[in-house]
Amino acid sequence: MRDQPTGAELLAAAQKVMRERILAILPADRKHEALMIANAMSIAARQLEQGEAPERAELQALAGLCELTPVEAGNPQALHAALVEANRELASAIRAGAAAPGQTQRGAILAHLRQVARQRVLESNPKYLKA
Amino acid sequence: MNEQATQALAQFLAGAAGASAVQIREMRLLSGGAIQENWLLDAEINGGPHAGTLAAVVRCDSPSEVSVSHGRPQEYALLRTAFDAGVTVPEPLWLCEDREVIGRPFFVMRRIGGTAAAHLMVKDGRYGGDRRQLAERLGAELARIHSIRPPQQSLDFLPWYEEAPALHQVRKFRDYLDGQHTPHPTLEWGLCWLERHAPPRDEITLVHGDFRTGNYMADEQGLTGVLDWEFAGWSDPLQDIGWFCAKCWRFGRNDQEAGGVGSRDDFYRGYETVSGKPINRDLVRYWEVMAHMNWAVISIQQAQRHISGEEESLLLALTAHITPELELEILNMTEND
Repeated sequence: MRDQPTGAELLAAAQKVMRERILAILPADRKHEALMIANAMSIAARQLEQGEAPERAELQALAGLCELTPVEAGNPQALHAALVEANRELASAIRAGAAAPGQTQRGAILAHLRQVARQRVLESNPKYLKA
Repeated sequence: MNEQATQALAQFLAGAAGASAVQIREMRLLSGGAIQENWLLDAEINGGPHAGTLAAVVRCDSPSEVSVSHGRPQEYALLRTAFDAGVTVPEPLWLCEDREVIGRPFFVMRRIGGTAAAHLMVKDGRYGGDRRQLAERLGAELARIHSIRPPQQSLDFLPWYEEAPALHQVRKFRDYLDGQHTPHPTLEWGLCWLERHAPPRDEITLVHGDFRTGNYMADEQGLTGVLDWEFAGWSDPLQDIGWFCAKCWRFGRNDQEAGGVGSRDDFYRGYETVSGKPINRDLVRYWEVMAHMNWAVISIQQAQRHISGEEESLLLALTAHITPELELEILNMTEND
């Protein structure tokens, strides 16, 4: 069992120091870099909090859409490989016209792409969804 | 730049400016990237038509010379052509392709004042002067860029093609995505939409290719120069208008649809006054979808430069995380047809 606080919590604490204490004392031409560091830490923290759940859900949804046999993706590498494979399948189906107006799968594909994009924006820039 | 290179530069300048002598007062690096470097140059020119004080920028390839954009001679030709067409750009003065002088090709251009920083331009009303005037002026500048029509002997290095510009870009993006390990189904969705709705080939003009807030300089009076010509090429002029107005280039100021700094009406009016022709409003929206697609592909390319180790950079690494919001925007703009 790992010790508390967790990696995500450490990142949150470090980020707070960066924004609240370090940023103010930096010269104007270096502040942008500090903000980039804080941003990178936020994205990493949000990904850690979410864990593998979003990618597992994406893989399951893809298996349904592309009629793939669900694969056992026990470790992170296998999960990544299976996602690349299934997304490649979906990408070439779309290019071949599977999501064109009038196609039966169009609605399901659009809903899936939107869900996956939203999920990634939740990790990369959640403020964007509120704007 | 060492003492020897500075001396060689002074000699080159004297020859190019038809001067009896040139003294370099100051020479320092302003900004350096993987592709090129900008050096501030202050010099005193004795004799000849340029006699007096010279405030300039020397632009040269970076020592590593990663060649992904136009080289210095091409960039000089673009600036020269734009300058002659009446576009506000830093005046290009002299080009040197001889590597014996400072070790790499370079050109000298007149230095302009102001800032290019997009976050200042959209938030701080001091830069760019009156907003209505700035938007009109940007429209007018873009119309002057689009007054440059093929054929242009000085620009014969720009690739020519016979396809509709929109379809040409769709093909380029697909070729790029096909070479990537990671598949991008949402971009494929967007590319199918762009293919279905592609406008036919119409008038072809020079396009800047990256005309947006952040790529022009302005001071408290107004615009001082249009920069960053490395993506210039022959295309549909609406490509630049869509790029400038696209939501992804408003830097958080969604209410200011023209580049985050002004209204569409003012920008369009400035453009139409100079071009003498109405902008096809319906087609601009098509090119705004293309803008999101183009930026999404560039964001993937920039992330690759970091991941591959070609250029380690936190900025490039973070650019990868802009892709999801661009994808969401593409879906929102293309869901109905």
